[in-house]
Amino acid sequence: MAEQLEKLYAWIAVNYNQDITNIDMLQQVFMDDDAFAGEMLDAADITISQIIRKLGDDGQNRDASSLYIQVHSLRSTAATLGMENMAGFLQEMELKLKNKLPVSASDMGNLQQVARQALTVVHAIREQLKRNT
Amino acid sequence: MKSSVLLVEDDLLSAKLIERNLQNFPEFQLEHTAISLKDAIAYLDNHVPELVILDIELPDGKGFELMPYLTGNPKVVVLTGDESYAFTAFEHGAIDFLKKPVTPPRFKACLEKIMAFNKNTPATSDKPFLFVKAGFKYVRVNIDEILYAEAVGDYVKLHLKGKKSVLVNISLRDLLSRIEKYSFAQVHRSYIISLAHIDSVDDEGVTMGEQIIPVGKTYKPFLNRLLQ
Repeated sequence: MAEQLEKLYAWIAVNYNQDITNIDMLQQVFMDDDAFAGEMLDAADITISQIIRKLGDDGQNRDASSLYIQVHSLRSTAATLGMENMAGFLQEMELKLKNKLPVSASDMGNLQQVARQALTVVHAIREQLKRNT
Repeated sequence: MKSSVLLVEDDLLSAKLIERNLQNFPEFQLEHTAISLKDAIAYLDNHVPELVILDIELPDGKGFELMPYLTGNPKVVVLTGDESYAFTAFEHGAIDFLKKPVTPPRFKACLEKIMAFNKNTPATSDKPFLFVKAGFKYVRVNIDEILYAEAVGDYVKLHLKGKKSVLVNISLRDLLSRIEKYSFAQVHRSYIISLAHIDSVDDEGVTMGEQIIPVGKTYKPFLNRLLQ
Protein backbone atom coordinates (compact mmCIF):
# COMPACT_ATOMS: atom_id res chain seq x y z
CA MET A 1 0.00 0.00 0.00
CA ALA A 2 2.89 2.39 0.68
CA GLU A 3 3.78 2.27 -3.03
CA GLN A 4 0.18 2.95 -4.08
CA LEU A 5 0.02 5.91 -1.77
CA GLU A 6 3.29 7.24 -3.17
CA LYS A 7 1.69 7.16 -6.63
CA LEU A 8 -1.40 8.80 -5.26
CA TYR A 9 0.74 11.53 -3.74
CA ALA A 10 2.34 12.18 -7.11
CA TRP A 11 -1.10 12.28 -8.76
CA ILE A 12 -2.43 14.72 -6.18
CA ALA A 13 0.66 16.93 -6.56
CA VAL A 14 -0.11 17.27 -10.27
CA ASN A 15 -3.87 17.73 -9.97
CA TYR A 16 -4.20 19.56 -6.67
CA ASN A 17 -2.25 21.44 -4.10
CA GLN A 18 -0.03 18.65 -2.74
CA ASP A 19 -1.06 19.48 0.81
CA ILE A 20 -4.61 18.42 0.02
CA THR A 21 -4.18 15.21 1.94
CA ASN A 22 -1.59 13.98 4.36
CA ILE A 23 -0.37 10.70 2.88
CA ASP A 24 1.42 9.63 6.04
CA MET A 25 -1.80 10.04 7.95
CA LEU A 26 -3.75 8.10 5.31
CA GLN A 27 -1.23 5.28 5.46
CA GLN A 28 -1.67 5.02 9.21
CA VAL A 29 -5.46 5.26 9.03
CA PHE A 30 -5.74 2.56 6.35
CA MET A 31 -3.52 0.25 8.41
CA ASP A 32 -2.03 -1.30 5.31
CA ASP A 33 -5.30 -3.09 4.72
CA ASP A 34 -6.78 -2.68 1.21
CA ALA A 35 -10.20 -3.97 2.17
CA PHE A 36 -10.42 -1.65 5.14
CA ALA A 37 -9.19 1.30 3.05
CA GLY A 38 -11.98 0.50 0.57
CA GLU A 39 -14.57 0.42 3.36
CA MET A 40 -13.36 3.75 4.73
CA LEU A 41 -13.47 5.38 1.31
CA ASP A 42 -16.95 4.04 0.61
CA ALA A 43 -18.11 5.41 3.96
CA ALA A 44 -16.48 8.76 3.17
CA ASP A 45 -18.18 8.82 -0.23
CA ILE A 46 -21.61 8.24 1.32
CA THR A 47 -21.05 10.72 4.15
CA ILE A 48 -19.72 13.54 1.97
CA SER A 49 -22.38 13.01 -0.72
CA GLN A 50 -25.07 13.34 1.98
CA ILE A 51 -23.39 16.46 3.33
CA ILE A 52 -23.31 18.05 -0.13
CA ARG A 53 -27.03 17.39 -0.52
CA LYS A 54 -27.82 18.79 2.91
CA LEU A 55 -25.60 21.82 2.38
CA GLY A 56 -27.71 22.56 -0.67
CA ASP A 57 -30.91 22.34 1.40
CA ASP A 58 -29.51 24.25 4.35
CA GLY A 59 -28.02 26.83 2.04
CA GLN A 60 -31.52 27.80 1.06
CA ASN A 61 -32.87 27.69 4.61
CA ARG A 62 -29.68 28.85 6.34
CA ASP A 63 -30.58 26.84 9.40
CA ALA A 64 -27.51 27.48 11.59
CA SER A 65 -27.82 24.43 13.84
CA SER A 66 -28.29 22.02 10.93
CA LEU A 67 -25.44 23.71 9.03
CA TYR A 68 -23.24 23.33 12.09
CA ILE A 69 -23.82 19.57 12.16
CA GLN A 70 -22.98 19.28 8.44
CA VAL A 71 -19.82 21.35 8.75
CA HIS A 72 -18.73 19.44 11.83
CA SER A 73 -19.30 16.14 10.10
CA LEU A 74 -17.43 17.28 7.00
CA ARG A 75 -14.49 18.49 9.08
CA SER A 76 -14.36 15.22 10.97
CA THR A 77 -14.43 13.21 7.73
CA ALA A 78 -11.81 15.43 6.09
CA ALA A 79 -9.56 15.18 9.15
CA THR A 80 -9.84 11.37 9.21
CA LEU A 81 -8.62 11.27 5.62
CA GLY A 82 -5.72 13.60 6.34
CA MET A 83 -7.23 16.60 4.54
CA GLU A 84 -5.80 18.97 7.07
CA ASN A 85 -6.02 22.15 5.00
CA MET A 86 -9.72 21.69 4.46
CA ALA A 87 -10.18 20.84 8.10
CA GLY A 88 -8.65 24.22 9.00
CA PHE A 89 -11.17 26.16 6.90
CA LEU A 90 -14.03 24.02 8.16
CA GLN A 91 -12.99 24.59 11.76
CA GLU A 92 -13.27 28.36 11.17
CA MET A 93 -16.74 27.88 9.71
CA GLU A 94 -17.74 25.61 12.57
CA LEU A 95 -16.70 28.26 15.09
CA LYS A 96 -18.65 30.88 13.20
CA LEU A 97 -21.79 28.73 13.27
CA LYS A 98 -21.27 27.78 16.89
CA ASN A 99 -21.15 31.49 17.81
CA LYS A 100 -24.24 32.11 15.68
CA LEU A 101 -22.44 34.57 13.44
CA PRO A 102 -24.09 35.25 10.10
CA VAL A 103 -23.17 32.95 7.22
CA SER A 104 -22.75 34.78 3.94
CA ALA A 105 -23.56 33.50 0.47
CA SER A 106 -19.84 33.41 -0.21
CA ASP A 107 -19.29 31.25 2.92
CA MET A 108 -21.93 28.86 1.60
CA GLY A 109 -20.26 28.81 -1.80
CA ASN A 110 -16.88 28.04 -0.23
CA LEU A 111 -18.39 25.33 1.92
CA GLN A 112 -19.97 23.60 -1.04
CA GLN A 113 -16.76 23.91 -3.03
CA VAL A 114 -14.72 22.38 -0.21
CA ALA A 115 -17.23 19.54 0.17
CA ARG A 116 -17.13 18.80 -3.56
CA GLN A 117 -13.33 18.92 -3.52
CA ALA A 118 -13.27 16.48 -0.59
CA LEU A 119 -15.51 14.12 -2.56
CA THR A 120 -13.29 14.40 -5.64
CA VAL A 121 -10.23 13.56 -3.54
CA VAL A 122 -12.02 10.57 -2.01
CA HIS A 123 -12.90 9.30 -5.50
CA ALA A 124 -9.32 9.90 -6.65
CA ILE A 125 -7.84 8.02 -3.72
CA ARG A 126 -10.17 5.10 -4.36
CA GLU A 127 -9.38 5.06 -8.09
CA GLN A 128 -5.66 5.17 -7.45
CA LEU A 129 -5.79 2.42 -4.90
CA LYS A 130 -7.91 0.23 -7.22
CA ARG A 131 -5.66 0.89 -10.21
CA ASN A 132 -2.57 -0.13 -8.34
CA THR A 133 -3.85 -3.30 -6.71
CA MET B 1 -12.23 -11.67 30.70
CA LYS B 2 -12.89 -9.08 28.01
CA SER B 3 -13.70 -5.49 28.94
CA SER B 4 -16.97 -4.35 27.39
CA VAL B 5 -16.77 -1.17 25.33
CA LEU B 6 -19.39 1.41 24.43
CA LEU B 7 -18.38 3.66 21.55
CA VAL B 8 -20.32 6.91 21.27
CA GLU B 9 -19.54 8.42 17.88
CA ASP B 10 -21.80 9.87 15.21
CA ASP B 11 -19.10 10.13 12.55
CA LEU B 12 -19.17 6.98 10.43
CA LEU B 13 -15.51 7.11 9.42
CA SER B 14 -14.21 7.77 12.87
CA ALA B 15 -16.41 4.97 14.26
CA LYS B 16 -15.09 2.53 11.64
CA LEU B 17 -11.54 3.52 12.50
CA ILE B 18 -12.04 2.89 16.21
CA GLU B 19 -13.87 -0.39 15.55
CA ARG B 20 -11.03 -1.60 13.33
CA ASN B 21 -8.38 -0.55 15.84
CA LEU B 22 -10.24 -2.32 18.64
CA GLN B 23 -10.10 -5.58 16.69
CA ASN B 24 -6.37 -5.69 17.42
CA PHE B 25 -7.03 -5.92 21.15
CA PRO B 26 -8.63 -9.18 22.29
CA GLU B 27 -8.83 -7.77 25.83
CA PHE B 28 -11.66 -5.47 24.69
CA GLN B 29 -15.04 -6.27 23.18
CA LEU B 30 -17.04 -3.58 21.42
CA GLU B 31 -20.62 -4.11 22.58
CA HIS B 32 -22.36 -1.15 21.00
CA THR B 33 -21.76 1.91 18.86
CA ALA B 34 -24.16 4.74 19.72
CA ILE B 35 -24.58 7.54 17.20
CA SER B 36 -26.28 10.00 19.53
CA LEU B 37 -26.65 10.84 23.22
CA LYS B 38 -30.19 9.45 23.14
CA ASP B 39 -28.95 6.15 21.73
CA ALA B 40 -26.15 5.96 24.35
CA ILE B 41 -28.51 6.75 27.24
CA ALA B 42 -30.92 4.04 26.08
CA TYR B 43 -28.04 1.54 25.97
CA LEU B 44 -26.86 2.54 29.45
CA ASP B 45 -30.32 1.83 30.85
CA ASN B 46 -29.57 -1.90 30.59
CA HIS B 47 -25.80 -2.17 30.28
CA VAL B 48 -22.78 -1.25 32.36
CA PRO B 49 -19.78 -0.92 30.02
CA GLU B 50 -16.26 -0.98 31.40
CA LEU B 51 -14.86 1.42 28.82
CA VAL B 52 -16.66 4.31 27.14
CA ILE B 53 -15.04 5.95 24.11
CA LEU B 54 -16.89 9.21 23.90
CA ASP B 55 -17.11 11.74 21.09
CA ILE B 56 -17.97 15.25 22.28
CA GLU B 57 -19.76 16.86 19.36
CA LEU B 58 -22.91 14.78 18.92
CA PRO B 59 -26.02 15.70 16.94
CA ASP B 60 -28.17 16.02 20.07
CA GLY B 61 -25.69 17.53 22.52
CA LYS B 62 -22.24 17.32 24.05
CA GLY B 63 -20.76 13.94 24.96
CA PHE B 64 -20.05 15.23 28.49
CA GLU B 65 -23.82 15.20 29.10
CA LEU B 66 -23.57 11.41 29.21
CA MET B 67 -21.44 11.46 32.37
CA PRO B 68 -24.36 11.50 34.84
CA TYR B 69 -25.75 8.35 33.22
CA LEU B 70 -22.59 6.31 33.73
CA THR B 71 -22.65 3.79 36.52
CA GLY B 72 -20.21 1.06 37.48
CA ASN B 73 -17.13 3.29 37.28
CA PRO B 74 -16.24 2.83 33.60
CA LYS B 75 -13.05 4.28 32.17
CA VAL B 76 -13.87 7.15 29.84
CA VAL B 77 -11.74 8.06 26.84
CA VAL B 78 -12.72 11.30 25.16
CA LEU B 79 -12.53 11.37 21.39
CA THR B 80 -12.71 14.70 19.56
CA GLY B 81 -11.25 16.82 16.82
CA ASP B 82 -11.23 19.85 19.06
CA GLU B 83 -8.25 20.05 21.42
CA SER B 84 -9.90 22.80 23.44
CA TYR B 85 -11.98 20.11 25.15
CA ALA B 86 -8.91 18.43 26.67
CA PHE B 87 -9.07 20.26 29.99
CA THR B 88 -12.83 19.73 30.36
CA ALA B 89 -12.33 16.05 29.52
CA PHE B 90 -9.86 15.51 32.35
CA GLU B 91 -12.01 17.63 34.65
CA HIS B 92 -14.81 15.11 34.00
CA GLY B 93 -12.50 12.27 35.00
CA ALA B 94 -11.54 11.01 31.52
CA ILE B 95 -8.57 8.65 31.58
CA ASP B 96 -7.32 9.74 28.15
CA PHE B 97 -8.01 12.18 25.35
CA LEU B 98 -7.77 11.06 21.72
CA LYS B 99 -7.59 13.62 18.96
CA LYS B 100 -9.19 12.61 15.67
CA PRO B 101 -8.15 11.00 13.48
CA VAL B 102 -6.87 8.35 15.81
CA THR B 103 -3.72 6.64 14.60
CA PRO B 104 -3.01 2.99 15.54
CA PRO B 105 0.08 3.83 17.66
CA ARG B 106 -1.87 6.44 19.64
CA PHE B 107 -4.83 4.09 20.09
CA LYS B 108 -2.53 1.30 21.24
CA ALA B 109 -0.91 3.62 23.79
CA CYS B 110 -4.35 4.56 25.09
CA LEU B 111 -5.53 0.96 25.54
CA GLU B 112 -2.22 -0.04 27.13
CA LYS B 113 -2.67 2.79 29.60
CA ILE B 114 -6.13 1.46 30.47
CA MET B 115 -4.87 -2.10 30.85
CA ALA B 116 -2.07 -0.92 33.13
CA PHE B 117 -4.57 1.14 35.11
CA ASN B 118 -6.89 -1.85 35.51
CA LYS B 119 -4.00 -3.99 36.70
CA ASN B 120 -2.81 -1.46 39.28
CA THR B 121 -6.17 -0.37 40.63
CA PRO B 122 -7.35 -2.13 43.77
CA ALA B 123 -10.78 -3.68 43.49
CA THR B 124 -12.22 -1.30 46.11
CA SER B 125 -12.16 1.59 43.62
CA ASP B 126 -14.45 -0.35 41.31
CA LYS B 127 -17.45 0.52 43.45
CA PRO B 128 -20.39 1.56 41.31
CA PHE B 129 -21.18 5.25 41.38
CA LEU B 130 -23.28 7.81 39.63
CA PHE B 131 -22.95 11.48 38.83
CA VAL B 132 -25.85 13.66 39.86
CA LYS B 133 -26.42 17.36 39.35
CA ALA B 134 -26.25 19.32 42.59
CA GLY B 135 -26.62 23.06 42.02
CA PHE B 136 -24.31 24.03 39.19
CA LYS B 137 -22.06 21.00 39.28
CA TYR B 138 -22.20 17.26 38.93
CA VAL B 139 -21.16 15.37 42.03
CA ARG B 140 -20.08 11.76 42.26
CA VAL B 141 -21.96 9.56 44.68
CA ASN B 142 -20.92 5.99 45.47
CA ILE B 143 -24.08 3.94 45.16
CA ASP B 144 -23.31 1.75 48.18
CA GLU B 145 -23.27 4.90 50.34
CA ILE B 146 -26.88 5.79 49.55
CA LEU B 147 -29.20 4.79 52.42
CA TYR B 148 -32.37 6.29 51.02
CA ALA B 149 -33.61 9.06 48.73
CA GLU B 150 -36.37 11.48 49.63
CA ALA B 151 -38.37 13.63 47.21
CA VAL B 152 -38.21 17.30 48.21
CA GLY B 153 -40.30 19.39 45.82
CA ASP B 154 -38.65 19.21 42.41
CA TYR B 155 -35.46 17.82 43.96
CA VAL B 156 -34.32 14.64 45.63
CA LYS B 157 -32.35 14.52 48.86
CA LEU B 158 -29.91 11.62 48.97
CA HIS B 159 -29.27 10.47 52.52
CA LEU B 160 -25.83 8.92 52.70
CA LYS B 161 -23.80 6.96 55.23
CA GLY B 162 -22.20 9.05 57.98
CA LYS B 163 -25.30 11.30 58.28
CA LYS B 164 -24.31 13.13 55.10
CA SER B 165 -26.87 14.27 52.55
CA VAL B 166 -26.92 15.95 49.15
CA LEU B 167 -29.78 17.71 47.38
CA VAL B 168 -29.80 16.77 43.70
CA ASN B 169 -31.66 17.88 40.62
CA ILE B 170 -33.32 14.64 39.47
CA SER B 171 -36.77 13.12 39.74
CA LEU B 172 -37.31 10.14 42.03
CA ARG B 173 -38.42 8.14 39.02
CA ASP B 174 -35.24 8.85 37.02
CA LEU B 175 -33.11 8.11 40.04
CA LEU B 176 -34.85 4.76 40.55
CA SER B 177 -34.31 3.77 36.92
CA ARG B 178 -30.58 4.33 37.41
CA ILE B 179 -30.06 2.58 40.75
CA GLU B 180 -32.80 -0.06 40.88
CA LYS B 181 -30.37 -2.73 39.68
CA TYR B 182 -28.28 -2.15 42.83
CA SER B 183 -31.11 -3.37 45.13
CA PHE B 184 -33.05 -0.18 45.60
CA ALA B 185 -36.84 -0.06 45.79
CA GLN B 186 -39.50 2.60 46.05
CA VAL B 187 -41.53 2.18 49.24
CA HIS B 188 -43.49 5.43 49.23
CA ARG B 189 -44.29 8.05 46.60
CA SER B 190 -41.55 10.18 48.21
CA TYR B 191 -38.99 7.54 49.18
CA ILE B 192 -36.58 5.08 47.60
CA ILE B 193 -34.56 2.89 49.94
CA SER B 194 -31.50 0.68 49.72
CA LEU B 195 -32.61 -2.84 50.63
CA ALA B 196 -29.07 -3.59 51.80
CA HIS B 197 -29.35 -0.99 54.57
CA ILE B 198 -32.69 -2.01 56.10
CA ASP B 199 -32.46 -2.78 59.82
CA SER B 200 -36.07 -3.86 60.29
CA VAL B 201 -39.57 -3.56 58.84
CA ASP B 202 -42.80 -3.27 60.80
CA ASP B 203 -46.22 -1.61 60.55
CA GLU B 204 -44.68 1.79 61.21
CA GLY B 205 -42.33 1.52 58.29
CA VAL B 206 -38.75 0.63 57.43
CA THR B 207 -36.11 1.35 60.03
CA MET B 208 -32.70 2.40 58.76
CA GLY B 209 -30.45 3.43 61.64
CA GLU B 210 -32.31 6.12 63.57
CA GLN B 211 -34.67 6.89 60.70
CA ILE B 212 -38.07 5.34 60.07
CA ILE B 213 -39.13 5.52 56.41
CA PRO B 214 -42.90 5.36 55.84
CA VAL B 215 -44.18 2.64 53.51
CA GLY B 216 -47.04 3.64 51.21
CA LYS B 217 -50.10 1.38 51.02
CA THR B 218 -49.62 0.64 47.34
CA TYR B 219 -45.94 -0.24 47.86
CA LYS B 220 -46.47 -2.63 50.80
CA PRO B 221 -47.21 -5.81 48.77
CA PHE B 222 -44.21 -5.10 46.53
CA LEU B 223 -41.90 -4.59 49.54
CA ASN B 224 -43.19 -7.74 51.20
CA ARG B 225 -42.45 -9.71 48.04
CA LEU B 226 -38.93 -8.28 47.90
CA LEU B 227 -38.26 -9.14 51.54
CA GLN B 228 -39.41 -12.71 51.10
